[in-house]
Amino acid sequence: MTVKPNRLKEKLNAGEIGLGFSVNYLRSPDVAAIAYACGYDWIKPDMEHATYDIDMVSQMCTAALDVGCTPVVRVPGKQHFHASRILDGGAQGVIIPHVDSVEEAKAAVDWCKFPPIGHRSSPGPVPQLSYAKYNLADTMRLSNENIMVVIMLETWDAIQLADDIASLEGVDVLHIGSNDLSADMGIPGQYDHEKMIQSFKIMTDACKKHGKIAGMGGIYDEENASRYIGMGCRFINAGGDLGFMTGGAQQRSTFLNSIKF
Amino acid sequence: MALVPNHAKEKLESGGIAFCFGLRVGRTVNAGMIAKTCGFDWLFIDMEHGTFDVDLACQISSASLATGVTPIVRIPGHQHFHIARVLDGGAQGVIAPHVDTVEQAEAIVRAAKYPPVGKRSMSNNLPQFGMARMPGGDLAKQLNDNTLVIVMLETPEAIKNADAIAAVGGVDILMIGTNDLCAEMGIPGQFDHERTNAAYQAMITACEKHGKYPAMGGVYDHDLMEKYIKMGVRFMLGGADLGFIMGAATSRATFLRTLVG
Repeated sequence: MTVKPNRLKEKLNAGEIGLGFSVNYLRSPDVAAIAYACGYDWIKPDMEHATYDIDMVSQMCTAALDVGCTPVVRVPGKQHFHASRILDGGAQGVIIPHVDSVEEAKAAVDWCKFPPIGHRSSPGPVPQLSYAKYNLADTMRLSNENIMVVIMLETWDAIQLADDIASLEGVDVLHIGSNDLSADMGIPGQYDHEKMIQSFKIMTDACKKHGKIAGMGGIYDEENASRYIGMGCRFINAGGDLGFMTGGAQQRSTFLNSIKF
Repeated sequence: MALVPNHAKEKLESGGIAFCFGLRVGRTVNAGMIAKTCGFDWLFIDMEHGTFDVDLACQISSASLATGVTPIVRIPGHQHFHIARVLDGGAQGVIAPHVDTVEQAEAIVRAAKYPPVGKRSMSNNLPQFGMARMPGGDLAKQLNDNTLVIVMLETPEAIKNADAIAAVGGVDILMIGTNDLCAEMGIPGQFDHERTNAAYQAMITACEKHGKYPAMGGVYDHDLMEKYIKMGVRFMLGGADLGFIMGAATSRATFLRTLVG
């Protein structure tokens, strides 16, 4: 078996939830093992909001392949080289932030999928196929099956395009960036706002219609997370290392500093 | 340029408790800033059980000085170069693990303090003075006063020698490595065992007699932390990055999975 399974994709296809662990602080290839030990299905090394370069992220991704915690990278921009280089380096999924048009979503598929679906450039041996030598047709087919394209919708205007974007061949997941979307709609952080609920409804309906996966991130409280999972969100960005660490550390120091001695 | 104050030392001298934020997986110079925001007094940069090399430990130490969080390095061995190199690189203290005898404690002081107290080799333009060049005599005297020397007691033999080790001039703090001590006593993990209690009592009594500070490492159960603080512990490991990340990440994953119907 030389194709590294994409366990996240398998779980999502089976209708299960996929919990993601954002990586913004850690810098070692054992990130996926740490996330897996904590109960996560995928890691998200974040090249949009952290300082990682391609080399470090690729090492995290390659090391993740044998852990069973799927490496899905958020790229910093909407150019082909961000997506293609990280896929050549071991990622099994690419998250493209701030997609504002159907054309941009189509372009993302072009960067990530080989012909006939897209126009990704042929890289030679890749970690997702254990660097094994396949004929080109098999490399392209197996990689296209293995790799997920995740489109982030982060404005009210982008939400209106959800149906068209979900209809594109090669798009696997539509994912609402809750922070940026709520900011764009003038209701920052108000995840229970009517417009937020409406946005999730539009996005999850589009996914159901076209057989795609709905995703969300940034919402961790019981009331709101329950609502959006109930509406069908299954690709869940569940939090990140830096937030987990500072939250845990603050709790501990508050306790320690409260001890009377 | 004035000497950067040793915040942890000042806190101890004013009757407070100095709590630390430990680094095991963190690799970035923002560690001091993070520890400060999370309410901690000093950084524990672990070269015994972490993979930090001298260069990284010193970059983190040097950057931490400006935040007011005191950088302290646990060295992997007792050689003079383990001690002198991290002190030259910006650390405001060293923690020497596995100190069983007075002779070992004396050798550590010799390596950490300049003449006439010890035999540390002179250098200049140090991070602790904002890289300013200092007259040698001033530098030696001020840094000898400003640098914390912490020795860890981790065997029954070390506990037996606690009084004599506390009497060694230049040793500031005695710290029990609770995990290793309990393992050595044949009661691994039994941090509330009567023999663990007795070991803490012996160390605390020795510190009180000789004007030193007692410290605790490896115990993160809140009830036990409180108990040992009330017995007299004043310098304490508050937890480390990896533990905080994994604790909070595991809780979040468990919680979100309960929301799936």
